[in-house]
Order: sequence, then structure tokens, then C-alpha cells
Amino acid sequence: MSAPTIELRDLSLVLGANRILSGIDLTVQRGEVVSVIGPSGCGKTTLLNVVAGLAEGWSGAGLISGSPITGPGPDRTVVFQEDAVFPWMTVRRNIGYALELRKASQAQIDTVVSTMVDLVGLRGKEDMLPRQLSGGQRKRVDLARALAATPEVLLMDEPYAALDQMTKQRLQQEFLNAVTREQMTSLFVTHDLEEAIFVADRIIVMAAAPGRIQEVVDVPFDHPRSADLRTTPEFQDIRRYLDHAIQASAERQIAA
Amino acid sequence: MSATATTTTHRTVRSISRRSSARSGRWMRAVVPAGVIAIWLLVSEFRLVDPLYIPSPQDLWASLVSLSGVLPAAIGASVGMTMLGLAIGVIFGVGTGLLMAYSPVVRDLLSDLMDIMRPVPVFALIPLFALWFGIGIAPQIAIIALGTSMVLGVTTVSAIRNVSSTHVKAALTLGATRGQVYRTVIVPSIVPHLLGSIRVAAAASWGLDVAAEFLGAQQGLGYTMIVRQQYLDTSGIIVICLIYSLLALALDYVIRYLEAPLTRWTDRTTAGGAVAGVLGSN
Repeated sequence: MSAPTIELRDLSLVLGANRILSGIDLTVQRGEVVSVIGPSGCGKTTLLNVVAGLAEGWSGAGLISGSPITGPGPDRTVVFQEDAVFPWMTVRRNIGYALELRKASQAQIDTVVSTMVDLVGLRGKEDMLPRQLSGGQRKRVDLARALAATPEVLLMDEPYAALDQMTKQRLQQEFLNAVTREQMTSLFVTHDLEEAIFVADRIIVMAAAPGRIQEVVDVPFDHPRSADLRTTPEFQDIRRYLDHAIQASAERQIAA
Repeated sequence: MSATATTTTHRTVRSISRRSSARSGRWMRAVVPAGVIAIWLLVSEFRLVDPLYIPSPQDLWASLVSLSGVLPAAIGASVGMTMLGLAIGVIFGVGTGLLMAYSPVVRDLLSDLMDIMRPVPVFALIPLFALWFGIGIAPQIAIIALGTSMVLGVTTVSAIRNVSSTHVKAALTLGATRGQVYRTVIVPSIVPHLLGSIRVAAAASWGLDVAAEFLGAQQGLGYTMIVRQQYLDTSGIIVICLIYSLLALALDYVIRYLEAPLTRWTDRTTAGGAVAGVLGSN
């Protein structure tokens, strides 16, 4: 059996007097999507930044397919909450950016861009500039750009938090389709419980002060998943359960 | 079909309202210049002020004709010096700014020097430069280059400081090296800001040229101006002032023309409606 795609052991991060993360143990297997939820300030984005190689000063072990995390790299691409698409590049150049950096041939870039454009439904918009696209379309460009780098892990940092409900649900579905098709491993940080359940195979519930894993919840639904799943009693049961878990963790924090 | 008709109607309504507001705007803009010209004509026609101070349009024309022999060479000399000084200033200023942002060593070496130099008025250095570089075009070009590079060095550093950290993080996670982040993210991000500063520096460069020529030039428009002043030729001085403003406008137009394709990606051109009402468009 090969090494898990993400392996974190006793990961901690102390910043001054604050313990941001404490004793995180997490293993994510190849092709698995794991959501991370928790009250605000519980360090879920920091956890993602550690995996992305964008955080400094942490201790413990962090391995990606067996090799230690030393800094950011194209084996762990990120879709950020903020608009991270480069506004001075066309859709085509944004999507092909990681390949351009690797000095891939133009033919190679064209093939990948073409596949990605179909995958995220942006055919015909390749030569547009980001300012000509809607917020949802820019997020699609962002996802396509992150996938085009063919990472080991796709890191999603509350990517759809700023979108309206309908666009959000459509993008969650598209994310799931793309990830399933590419057999991508993903860590998906969100504060939207339905989103967390819909996209994930497993949900990490974090607690704050210090940021730690409170509980792990398995999501039993098969793929492919459709929008109707959200209205099933089983889905709503998990949702209710998570709601209570987060409430409890937030109350404990207030009491402490 | 009906949908097309509706959009057409909307567009027509909007373009009519825009056109009428543009027309009234043009009207408003003509009021003040027309008033100034009218007063000038009245003053010179009825000799309300000594023509030594305010010459008539005919005097201006006569001066233009009499200067026409020396003007081409003078314009050539001034334009040449200003362009050369500005080019050196842009390259040196932007280059220093980029280097300072890229390398902490360069930043530590230069930032104190820059902070000391910045408050020194560039014009105050003219006598010093004349002493160092002698009389001729070298000190004049040096003054223009120094004045413009100061502006551009400072604005380049501050523009880089304002680059979106999300864009930098995205580039790093997509595999960009430090150099690649500079080339593909930082430089394109600051281009619109930089072009704005280059326009400001270009406008300032004409003033630097005039001042530099006042103090020891053998040719050029500023030099010609000083000569005309010794002859009490007010209309000649005004003619040269007008030529300077035409040159400055032409240069600004050229820069704006060249920058258009480079700044197309910004939202600047799309500001309209309420935003334009608050900020003013253009």
C-alpha cells in the first residue's frame, strides 16, 4: 500500500501566546475528499495553509505522498476564498498558467486548457478577460487553473463563501464531478454545513482555542451525487448532528 | 424578436441621455476658455493694459512668424533633452524600485539615501549640477532624469507593496519561483499604476526642462525664452509657453495611446453610473 496523500502527525502551531493548532492528526487517502468545518477562529484555514506550504512556524510531521511539506508547490494547488484569478490574463492563460511556468509546449498547454474548459463549462470564453466574467465563472477559472497543474491535493479554502446560494450549489456539483472524474484528493475548508456534507467522504469537525480535531464524521453517500441528496432525511440527519457538534464546541469555548 | 426590440429601445434611451449630457458637458467646458479669450480680446483691442504685459493676438502671430527661423532647432533641442532625461528617469526609477522590492539588500542600501534625497527640491540642485557637469546638455538631462526617477522610484515601491497577496500566494502554489512571481504577477499588476506615474513624471519633465534651460543652456525653448525676455518680447515668451503646453499635451496623448492596450484588463474603463457620478469619469 502506498503512502497516504496527506499525512499530518501531531501538528501544532503556536503564534506568540496563542495556540492556533494543537496536536492535529489527519490522514487522507488518495481520491478522498475531506471537509473541514468548525466555529470561526478554530484554525481551519491555518490548517489548510500548513498543507499548502503557506504557513510558517508549525511543528510536527506533515507529509504529502510521503515527502515532507517544505513550502508551496504545484502538487498542492489552492482555490482561495478571495478572487485569485489573474485579471491581466485571459481565461486561457489563467488556466494554462502552471504549465506555462513549467515551460510546457504550446501544444501541451492547448490540450490541457481545452480539456479544462470543457470540464468547468467555459467553452467559448477562453479569450475573455476575468472582468468580463461573473463571480461564479471566475471561480470556475480558478478551479480549472488549480486542476490543470495536476496536483496531488486540491485545497479548497472556503472557495464559494462569497457566492449566492444557486451559483454555490451548481459549483459544488461541478466541483464534485470534476474531482470524481480526475480522482483528485481534496481538503475542503468551509463554514457551510450542507456544502461540507455534499462534497465530502469524511468531515473533520474542529474546535477552537486551541484549534484541534473534535470529531470525525463519515459521509455514507455514494457517487455520483445529485442536488436532490440535500433534501433526503439521511442528509438532514447528518446536518443536524453537525449543527449540534459545532454548537457544543462553541459553547464549551465560551464557558472556558 | 420582441426581446431584441426591447434591448434596442433600452440602448437607444440610454445613448440619447448620455449624448445629451455629453453635449451639455461640452458646452459647460467651453464657457471659461471662451470667457478668458473674450476678455483678452477686449483688453488688447481697447488698450486697457500696456501691450508689454498683455500683447494682442496680432503681436503673438507676429512673434510666431519672427521666431519661426529658430523654433525648429529650439523645439528639437528641448524635446530631445526632455525625452532623453525622461527615458533615463523612467528606466532608472522603475528599475531601482523593482530592485528595492526584490532584494532586501538593495532596499537596505538605498532606502535611507532615498529618504534623504526625496525632500531636496530637484530645482535646488541645478546650480550644483551645472558646477559638476559644466554648461551644456549633460546637467540638464541629469536634472530631468533625477527629478523623474525620484517620483517613479517611490511610486514603484509603493505599487509593489499594494500587489494583492492572494495573487502572489496563488502563483506560489501553482509552482512559480520568486523570479516567476515577479515576472508574471508583480510586474503586470503594477503596470497600470506605473503608467499613471509615468504620465505625471512626463508632465513634470517639461517643467524640469524649462528650469534647467534657464540656468545655462545654449539652445532650446527655455533658452530662447530667456533671450526673448531680455528683449522685453512678451508675446514671444507667451508663444513659447503655448508651444510647451502643446508638446506636453502631445506627449500625454502618446502615452495614453500606448497605455490603452496595457490597462484594458482593469475595471477603470467600466466605471459608470453612480460611481462615475462620485468619482468623475475619465
